[in-house]
Amino acid sequence: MDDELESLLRAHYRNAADDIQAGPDTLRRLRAARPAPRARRWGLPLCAALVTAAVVLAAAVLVWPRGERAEPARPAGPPAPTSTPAPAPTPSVTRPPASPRPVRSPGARKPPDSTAGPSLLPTARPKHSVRPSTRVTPVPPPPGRPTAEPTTGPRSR
Amino acid sequence: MSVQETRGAEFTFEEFVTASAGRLLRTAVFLVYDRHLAEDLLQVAYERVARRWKRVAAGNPEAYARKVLVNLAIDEGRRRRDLPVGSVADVERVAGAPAAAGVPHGELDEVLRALPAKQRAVVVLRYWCDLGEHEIAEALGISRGTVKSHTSRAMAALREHMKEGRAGGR
Repeated sequence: MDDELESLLRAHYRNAADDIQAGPDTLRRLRAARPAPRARRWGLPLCAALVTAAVVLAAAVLVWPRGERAEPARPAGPPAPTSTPAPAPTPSVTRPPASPRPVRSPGARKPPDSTAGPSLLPTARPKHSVRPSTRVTPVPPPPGRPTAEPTTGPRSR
Repeated sequence: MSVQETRGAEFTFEEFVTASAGRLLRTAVFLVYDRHLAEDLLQVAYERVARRWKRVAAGNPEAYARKVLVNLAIDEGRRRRDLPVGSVADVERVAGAPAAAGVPHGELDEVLRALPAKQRAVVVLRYWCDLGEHEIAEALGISRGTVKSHTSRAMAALREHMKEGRAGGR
C-alpha cells in the first residue's frame, strides 16, 4: 500500500511540474536579488587604521629618548657610608690585604720586622688603608637595635 | 535537465538563479499552493542566498536556497493559519474561487493542501525533491525521528483519502 502511495505521489509531482514554469519576467525579478558589492566595504576603515598606526609609530619614534641611555637606575640601597672609612670594630673582621712577602734568597737574613723598612719587591697598595686609630668613629646602628653610646635615660618602646 | 543541484564557486549568482529557478519555483508552489506567494517566497530566499553568496557558493547553494524556501513556506503556513476570521483568504476559500493557473488542483492536491505545513513540506522534500531522511531533517532543523513521524502521519492521511476514494468509486 505504501509503495503504491509513494509511486502515486512521485508521479503526481512529476506531472504537476510540467505546468509550472518560471517565465522571463519571473526570472528577471528573481535575478534582481544579486549580492551587493562588498569589496570596498572595509577599505576605508582599514586605511584609517593604517594611517592611525603610522602616526602613533612616528610619534613614538620622535618622543623616545635617543642616544645612549643613562646608567640604569640602581635599586635603592642603604645610605652611602661617610667620607672617612670607619675601621672595623674587630680586627678579625677586616684584614688588610696581604702584601706579598719578600722572597728570601738563600742565605739572606730575615728582616727583624716586616714593618721595619720597605720591602724589596713592590707591594700592592691597598685601596683602603686600615689603620688602628685611637679614636673610634661610631657606626650608625641599624634601626631597632640598641646603640653602644650611653643614653640619657631609659628608652621608651 | 535532470534534478541536479547547482554547485560550484565558478557560478555567478545570476547563473545560479537561472539554473535553479524552475526547480525551486515548483518546490515553492507544491509547498504553498499559491503561485504568487511561491514567487514571493522564492525571491526572499534568493535574497538571503545573495547576501551570503561568497560563503554559500563554495558549497551547495541550491540546497541552502531550498532550506530557506521550505522554512519560509512553513512560517507562512503558520501565519496564515493564525489569520483572523474573515480574511481575504477565507473569503476566497468559501466562495470557491477557481484555482490559480499553474497550481495543481487535483483530489490528491486537496488532501496535500489540507496537511499541516511541516507534514506537507516533508512529503514534498521526500517525493518531489527525492531527499533522504537525513537531508530532510537538516533542511527543516528537526530530528530524523520527527521526519519519520511527519511522513507517517502524512501517508496515513493520504491512505485514508485513497480508501475513501475507492469506497466512493464503488
